[in-house]
Amino acid sequence: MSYQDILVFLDDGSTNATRVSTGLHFAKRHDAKLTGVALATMKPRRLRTDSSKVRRRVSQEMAEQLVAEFTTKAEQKDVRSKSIIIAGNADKSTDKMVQYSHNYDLLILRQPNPDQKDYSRLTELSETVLLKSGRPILFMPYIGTDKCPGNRVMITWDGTAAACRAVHNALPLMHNASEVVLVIVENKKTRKNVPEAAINGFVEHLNNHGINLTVRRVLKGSYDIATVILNEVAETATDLLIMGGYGKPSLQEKIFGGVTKSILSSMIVPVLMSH
Amino acid sequence: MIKDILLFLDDGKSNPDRVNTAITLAKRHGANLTGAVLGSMKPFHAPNRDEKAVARMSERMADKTLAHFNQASQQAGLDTDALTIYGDSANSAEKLAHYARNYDLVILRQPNPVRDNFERMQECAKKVLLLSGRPVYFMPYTGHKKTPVQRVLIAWDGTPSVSRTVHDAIPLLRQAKNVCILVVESKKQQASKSEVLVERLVRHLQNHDIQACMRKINPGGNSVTTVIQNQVTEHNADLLIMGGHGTPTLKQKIFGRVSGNLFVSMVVPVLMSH
Repeated sequence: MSYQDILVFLDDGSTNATRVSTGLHFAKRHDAKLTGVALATMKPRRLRTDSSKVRRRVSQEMAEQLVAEFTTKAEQKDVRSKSIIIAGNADKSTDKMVQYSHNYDLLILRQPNPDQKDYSRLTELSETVLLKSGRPILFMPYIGTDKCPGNRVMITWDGTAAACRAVHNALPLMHNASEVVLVIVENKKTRKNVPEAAINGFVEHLNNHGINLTVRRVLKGSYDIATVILNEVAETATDLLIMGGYGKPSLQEKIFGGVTKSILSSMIVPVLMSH
Repeated sequence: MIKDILLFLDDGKSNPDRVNTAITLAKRHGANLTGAVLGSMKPFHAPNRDEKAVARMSERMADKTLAHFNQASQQAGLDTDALTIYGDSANSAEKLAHYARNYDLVILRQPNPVRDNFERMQECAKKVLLLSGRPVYFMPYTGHKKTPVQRVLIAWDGTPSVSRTVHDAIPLLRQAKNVCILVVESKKQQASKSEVLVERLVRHLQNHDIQACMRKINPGGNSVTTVIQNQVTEHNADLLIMGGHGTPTLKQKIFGRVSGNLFVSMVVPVLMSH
């Protein structure tokens, strides 16, 4: 399977341009349609006003401008595109995002930046879409990236269903990689879930899908798992991390797993997560 | 793409149909097929004698089941792998789930409430769904002789589970002759979340070269389960695609009320991803 429909989130942050070009790059490579989505009620960063009328108008105008710029870029790159502006307050627009997300093979969102005012809204959006859409999400780091992800790929594997879904969802991204490494962080859980025989079977399965990879086991030591993973990423010049996203969507709140939350807040390269 | 299929084998009545389905799908998609059997599953006809005797009979039954499978694959001209999973009920279910991670499609059986191994089969189903995250094709315990995945009905309810299942099923749907998305309308005035954007799902599937039609049905006085079951019959479907749990809760529930009912009373195979 390849990607046919990709969704990319548009906003007025500094990483928007790289996010869009990543989306265009993938769309072109897989001959897919790219849809740009903007939130009509997301307050532009440099806006200072007390009037809700002004805020609404400027936010709407910003969304329209983002969509127009996106459409132009897509035309320039000869990529089929579409755009959506989602109206409604934070909760409503998040819900709508989830519904739209069912119709895409890959969603490209942004890592929320704690220094920005939209941090809590974006965090809520990211967590909800990850846990309720069932689709894979590529989070782009707020520090920016210097190249398109997918050349040196790292999978962090713990044998759980979420990790398994993430890898299968990411297969089209891995086909063009020059290197794919599967890293297992050794702890009690992975020792139980990932015996040697199981890993060999998984490697063979990925080989059948045309992907060659190496396996590395890393000791956890006294560090927490997220730190170990991020260290590995930094030390190996990885440009794309693939992992399962954990959490339990409850009736009231979405509770993110510890490792997922840590990685999402400290990621230094693009991360693809599936729940 | 479907490159690797895992097939669960046992001495049940639905086994031959399950084997035929697996072989048909493996050939159709050019996939590798692995037959898996539980080494300690008590055979149907084994009376409750001493443990050693039952263990011996179970092993022999496992070997016999694998031999039949190998014969059937040879006759069909298909190279296959075989796998025997040892361990008691809990261990073997988990091991099966771990193996399942290495496959694009897992073919299991619907547990039969009349048989001794009912709880054990339920445990297998739950563990594989929960721990592997792979799409599972359940064969009804009454068997199913039709050519697989020709006319498909998708019971769409907008949950992440059904979304995953549909996306996992794309390689299967591309080869189907007829795909229909069913949305059961909400009893409330407002359109339920699942009804919105189904048109877009149709378009998304079209982008994957799948022509799907859509039907919205008002349940009237009937339950949602009944509506779906009726549509399966009316549509002459040979596969029902559904999601699991609707309302997210803290507990890891796999089946909700409707999907649980459909699972227990299936008359055609059901495909589900957790």
